Amino acid sequence: MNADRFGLGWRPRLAAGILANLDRIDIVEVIADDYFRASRHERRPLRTLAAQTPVTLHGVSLGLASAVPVETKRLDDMARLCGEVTPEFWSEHLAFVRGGGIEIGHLAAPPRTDATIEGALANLARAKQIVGVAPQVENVATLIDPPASDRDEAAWLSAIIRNSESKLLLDLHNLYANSLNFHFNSKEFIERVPREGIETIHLAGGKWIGRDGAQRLLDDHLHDVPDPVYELLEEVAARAPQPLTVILERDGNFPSIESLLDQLDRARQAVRRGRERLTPAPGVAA
Amino acid sequence: MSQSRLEVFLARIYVDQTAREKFLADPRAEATRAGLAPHEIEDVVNIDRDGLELFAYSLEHKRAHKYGRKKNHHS
Amino acid sequence: MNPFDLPGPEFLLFFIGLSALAILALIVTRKIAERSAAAKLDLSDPYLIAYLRGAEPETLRVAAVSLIDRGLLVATGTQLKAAEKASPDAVRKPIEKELLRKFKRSDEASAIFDDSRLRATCKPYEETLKNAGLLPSEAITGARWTRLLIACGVLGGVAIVKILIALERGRTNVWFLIILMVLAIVVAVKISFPRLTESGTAMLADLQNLYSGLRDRALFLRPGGATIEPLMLAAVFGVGALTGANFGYTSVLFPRAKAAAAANSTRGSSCGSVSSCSSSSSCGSSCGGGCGGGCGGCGG
Repeated sequence: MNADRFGLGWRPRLAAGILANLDRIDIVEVIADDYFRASRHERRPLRTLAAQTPVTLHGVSLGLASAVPVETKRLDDMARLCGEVTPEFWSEHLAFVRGGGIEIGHLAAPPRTDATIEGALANLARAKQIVGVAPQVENVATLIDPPASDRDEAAWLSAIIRNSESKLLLDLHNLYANSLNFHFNSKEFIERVPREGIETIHLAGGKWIGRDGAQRLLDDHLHDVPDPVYELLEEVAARAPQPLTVILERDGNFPSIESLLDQLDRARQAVRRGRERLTPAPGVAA
Repeated sequence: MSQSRLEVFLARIYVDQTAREKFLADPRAEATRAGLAPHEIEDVVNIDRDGLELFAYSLEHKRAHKYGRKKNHHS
Repeated sequence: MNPFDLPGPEFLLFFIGLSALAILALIVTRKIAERSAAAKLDLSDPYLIAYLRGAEPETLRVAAVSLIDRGLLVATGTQLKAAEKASPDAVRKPIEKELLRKFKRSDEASAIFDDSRLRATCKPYEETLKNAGLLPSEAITGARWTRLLIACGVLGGVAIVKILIALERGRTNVWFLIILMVLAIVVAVKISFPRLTESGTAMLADLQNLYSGLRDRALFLRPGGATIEPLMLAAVFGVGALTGANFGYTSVLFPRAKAAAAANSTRGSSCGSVSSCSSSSSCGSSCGGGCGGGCGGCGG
């Protein structure tokens, strides 16, 4: 892969628009969990989709960032799907999603401790062993400051990336939302995570929720990408010289496909601007 | 392992309204009852309450939406 | 035991079994021979997909609907006429140019099916699909004939040998066997030449799965050429899938297509796309959970 790529999250509602505009879309990201319980016959269309355009698989329910080992069956499901579809890569979230038999129903930020780092590293190693290739791992948005944390998100994330074979899927709206909700500088965050480890970027939008004085930005994937997220994208492109895969996520409240493609074009422009400003990593001669 | 007990505890107060209300009424007692380590008890006593309520609200709506969609499919 | 020594009724049963095996073998060997890796197609071309689904008639229906939707053809009852300012130069695709030429003067919509020039504009789609292995090429058709001839040779040969033996033994009640032989050969011929290859059948089924979300929203699609969605719906599922008052003209122009769509709508997944009901994920996924599915949060 030599060039930056720009794609969309695959949603059935967008199928016609995506498939009619593959000349403007480099890659498509499929939610893997949608197909784990599908029959072989029902999974076959994914192979057809993969023949039309590069595809990645994005998991949402492994719960990798947990002190509890991920169930082997769930990794087997992912391995089977990856074997059938042969995606460009697969990805998951650094989140926990269940505990004591209780399904949380969404991605929860785990306490940022040595225990969850070690748990994540162990789960990532097992994931690579069972699936055959390590996943890219995504930072999650959180409405609650994870309790019992002894370090900040940048330190926690960096520790996992530096000590595993996984690359980073940096979700810039998640970063943006967390930075506003918990008052830290998102550009400094980008400086602190291993820039050479960033391979994929997610873009999305959200909305403010909560009562006055206690509002938080929710990453709901139902709104257009806000301007500051494009600025962050430019920052990443200016710091990470390796090719980036940039994926726009939209889960509902769908605008026209043209609007989504325009947002993708805007992402292209942001990356282009960043590339023009490319600065070498510290310690590397210009 | 303490960390996994903490995750179970958090999952419960995120998802279960009764457990959450009990916790917010007396966080130290509930955290102790859950078998958390002393430093974890101190941390959850000072939990981000606004965030907890918003996250729980968000989860509840996600569940309601999911249930509503499944009902429509099978009706 | 020599099957040719079986008494009449038993031999008939044996022959029925042999015929069933031969027909099954024809089906299985054809499926194996014609299966290939998923082809890459230009999915931005609805006419290519329409041709895959229903050859010239379907392609012409979809093209006519496309021009009507864009205001270039006007439907009045069962008749079509090019709009006042519509010129063949205003469109790019040969099939559309030819339609506008044909309907320079008002004519019955059904006239498109017998027009050789119109049918000729569909030839490139046929070639593309043959090259992709989705329609049978000459080589594939030749292989089908070979398998059929072998099967018919076996069935015919066994039947004829038995008939000769029976006649030699003074038995003349061979009519049941002759009828069975003819029936078996007719069935073998019928199942040997499906319009699509196995890959073509799979591709069409997969496209209908990938686009099933579109069919679920058929009632809400907007006419007027604003989006490609109505056209893709027609291409993938037939013009009969265009429901609602906005596309009522399709049932007047092409009543058979409408009837076929009504018959087909009782089949298919009750869940629509494959992503509908299969998820048991915590986070929830498209249709299975979440306000919008995916991994976005829910603010109510």
